[in-house]
Amino acid sequence: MKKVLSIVLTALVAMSLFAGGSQESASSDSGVIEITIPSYKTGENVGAVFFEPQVERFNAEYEGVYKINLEAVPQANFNDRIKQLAQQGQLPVLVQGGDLDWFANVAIPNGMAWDMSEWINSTPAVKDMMLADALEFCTTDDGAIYSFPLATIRPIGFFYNTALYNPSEDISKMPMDDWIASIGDQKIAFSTAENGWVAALFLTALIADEEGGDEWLQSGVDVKITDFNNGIMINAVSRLQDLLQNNASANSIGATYADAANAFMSMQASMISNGSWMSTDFEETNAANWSNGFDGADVRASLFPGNVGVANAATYGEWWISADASEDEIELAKAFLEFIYTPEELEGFLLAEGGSAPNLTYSESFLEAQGEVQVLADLAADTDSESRFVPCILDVIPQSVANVEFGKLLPSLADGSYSAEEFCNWMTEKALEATM
Amino acid sequence: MTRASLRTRKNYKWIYLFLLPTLIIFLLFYFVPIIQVFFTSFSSWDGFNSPSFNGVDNYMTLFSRSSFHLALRNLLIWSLIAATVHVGFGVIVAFIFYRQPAGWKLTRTLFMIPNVISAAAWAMIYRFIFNNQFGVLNQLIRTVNPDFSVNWFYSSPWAFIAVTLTWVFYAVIVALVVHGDLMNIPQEINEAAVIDGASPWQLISRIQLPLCRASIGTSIIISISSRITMYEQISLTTAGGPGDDTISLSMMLVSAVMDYRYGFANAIGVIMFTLGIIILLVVNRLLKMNESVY
Amino acid sequence: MRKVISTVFMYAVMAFVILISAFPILWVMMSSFKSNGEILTSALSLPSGFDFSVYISLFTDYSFPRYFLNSILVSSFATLFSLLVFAMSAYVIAKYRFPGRMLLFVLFTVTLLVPAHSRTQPIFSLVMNLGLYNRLSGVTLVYLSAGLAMSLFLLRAGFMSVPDSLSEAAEIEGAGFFRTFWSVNLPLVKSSLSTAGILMFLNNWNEFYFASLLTSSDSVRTLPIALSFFTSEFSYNYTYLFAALTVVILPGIVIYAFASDQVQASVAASGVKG
Repeated sequence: MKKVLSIVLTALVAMSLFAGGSQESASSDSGVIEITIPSYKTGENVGAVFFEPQVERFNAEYEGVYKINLEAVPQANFNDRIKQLAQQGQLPVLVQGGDLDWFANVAIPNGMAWDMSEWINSTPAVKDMMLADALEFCTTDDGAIYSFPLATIRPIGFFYNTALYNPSEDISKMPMDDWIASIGDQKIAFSTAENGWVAALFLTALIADEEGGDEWLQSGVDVKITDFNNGIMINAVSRLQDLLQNNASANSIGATYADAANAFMSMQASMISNGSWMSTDFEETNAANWSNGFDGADVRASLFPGNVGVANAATYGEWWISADASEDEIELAKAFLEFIYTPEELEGFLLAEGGSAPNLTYSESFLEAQGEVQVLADLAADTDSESRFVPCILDVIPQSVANVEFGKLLPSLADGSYSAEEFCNWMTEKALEATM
Repeated sequence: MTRASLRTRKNYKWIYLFLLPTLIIFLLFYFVPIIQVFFTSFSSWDGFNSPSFNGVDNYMTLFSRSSFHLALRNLLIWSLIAATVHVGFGVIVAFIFYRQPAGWKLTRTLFMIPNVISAAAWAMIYRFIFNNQFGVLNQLIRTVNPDFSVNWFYSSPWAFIAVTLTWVFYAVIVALVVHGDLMNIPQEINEAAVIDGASPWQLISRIQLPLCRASIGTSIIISISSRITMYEQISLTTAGGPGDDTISLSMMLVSAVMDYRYGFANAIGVIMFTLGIIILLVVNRLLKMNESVY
Repeated sequence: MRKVISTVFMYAVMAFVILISAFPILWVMMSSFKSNGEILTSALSLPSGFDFSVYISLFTDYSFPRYFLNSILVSSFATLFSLLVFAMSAYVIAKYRFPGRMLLFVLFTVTLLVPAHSRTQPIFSLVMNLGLYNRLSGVTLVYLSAGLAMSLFLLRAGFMSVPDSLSEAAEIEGAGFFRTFWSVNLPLVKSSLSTAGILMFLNNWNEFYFASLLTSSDSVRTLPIALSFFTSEFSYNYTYLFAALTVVILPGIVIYAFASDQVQASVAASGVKG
């Protein structure tokens, strides 16, 4: 009896093992064209706040015609998944993000991406929104466009808590040195573990402040920088070291991004640098994560002193279309991409995650709404024709140096066991090792 | 020996039938990767385009790297600690379990917890424990010495010690394996030794310990192999720093993959293989693990 | 006196083991009831109250019972099957001297050192070609290969400590090859089987990389993937993270506590003392 029972149970369990998850279906009986795409901008991911409802709005707009289903997948290994799916010829119709080097070196040469140039060129509603730099970067020598060029730019500056720090001047218009002299012993939340993200943003601003720093950073967009033994970098690093030693919040050594964010939101630091997507963390709905009397309403934002924002338009966009997609599916993909570049959706995106769409004429209601989100309004007000945008240092150096070596040495820079020269020498050595 | 081979000859069909499923698993999941790792280690390969043969260049580059020397030094120290302190602690715990003091079952269950938690989560927990500002360890030390301040994972030489502490006493596998072997010792052997007047200490050192040498050897091999492959405990704590204080071959391998240098990464992989095989053969020989115990 | 010292020593070691093993997880559970600020400012203090709202929202937003079931299915199936398969080859490697024996043993054990990145592509294409992408059976299939080296090691050592005389006696009585394996040798290595089984199960239970690569929909998600949502880039909510950790870890511990008792009981019942 016991044996029979266990066999029946085993069989049942075995059957459930072979029951699958939902399969991709191109179209259903009702004539609705339907696709399923994996996305990491789902669930707990910061990007989900805007992206998930956006897809729902698209599905509502095209009800009975198109439908996109999202599969929530973890951000970790997302690029690996895309590569493997591509190798099997099983790419989703719309591909989100991915590994940029791989996209340029494998996906494009092997014809995995659908050329959208004809469509973009004949669709001014979409083309007119695109940033000139982005469009130029995404257009190949023979005129093809494989990645959907960006329409928005989100310059990264920093946030400050007016309950602790109340600058008397417009920070972004101050020279960097004056600003550093003015902050006294104000605390900055740095992250120095993981890839040292917050410290890297400040370092980028400090590099941009050096003579020729802009150009030096820009040069890394085309060819990764491997030599850091120069005055620009050494000066910038030694100024970063001063900041780390004099103005870092108490937990900075070995702090992850999470530690830094929590230091800021518990009044242990008056400043933190991060992208404008952080603005949702300062809204009342997130109050449960505040402590020690922190109030999101006190937070203001600014570009870096010297009118510098960290941003790069000359890169691939967020989306591309699989060349294996059927005609119907491509129609759907085009409809979706056109949809996300409609003025309403772009404005919605800017309100949710910050940034600006230079080619868009903003509506009254948008400007009003943006004014209500203090930090976004601050960044928008700071951005003018004089503003300089530079790519983040982490994006212009070899990946292993950006992901591992840079962050690995920051604690030693902070505690003084490495000098700026030694730090730069180390980076150079590791960058050469990464490319040789 | 002769008797064994006689039995073997008679049973060839069965022997290979018994090996077949494992062989299939091996061929499906490991054969291609091993061949690929080996051959591409002699090439420059970005993982996209076809590899171009470059002889032993990858190995020469690797051998000339100071980080490689440090990684080998670290591996050597960690392996020695694994084979002595780690395995030794596990053996002690196994002998304690063998005597079945009150609460030993509970202890055994709790000892397994670190293995129930993934290495990634465990590393994260340890980052909290070793945190200078609010970490448990430093707060405890500060009750004795209020001025104590050490950034465990981020300063020399503490980082190496801290990484070692994340695994050195978690010897539950050793304890289970050795305990299992102890349980298999026939009671008559123990009884005979006691009748012959062996002291409890002599019983352990002369009888029980030698009879466990297969499981102790297994433990040493497993724990050294874990040191060769150890990755999350480093990447999520020190990332190999400060400087190259806690660098490991696995960290170097992953960095090379990040830079699309698969040929170089696979050369590191081959070195890891080779070290693993050497350890396996040496420990096997030293502890005479191929010979039946009884 | 000597007895007192050894008793004190035994309990001191056991107390140390309990401290280093149980404390971290108790701390995680305790922290899941604290706010972010409390965790950062007073790490050791007890939570001010037991607020289960975080847990409730975890269970309403995510289908943890489902993930739990998936993890159990995948881990236990793969473990049971591969345990049998690996026991068979460990048995012949331990007991018989045939050509290629050492080569196979070395080959099987170095699988432990094959880097994951080089296994990704062959495994992904295998699973795809079998049509098992995004299915629990695909993940199970991959897990079959997971504990090869470790299990072979433990089981070989186990079989080697079984006296050959037992097999010979059985053969004289007319037992065939399979009977000698199944009824004589296998019952005598129960402790090795249980150790290898538990380790393989826990390995599968915690496996993240292949599970995340080979599945994409919620219905086939396992616990480690669910956990990864709380450690993604720019997340900083420690309370949620610790609550999710607790939800993922606790069942594993309960299963182990339960299983190890069962296994132990069956070892004791079979009267294995040689």
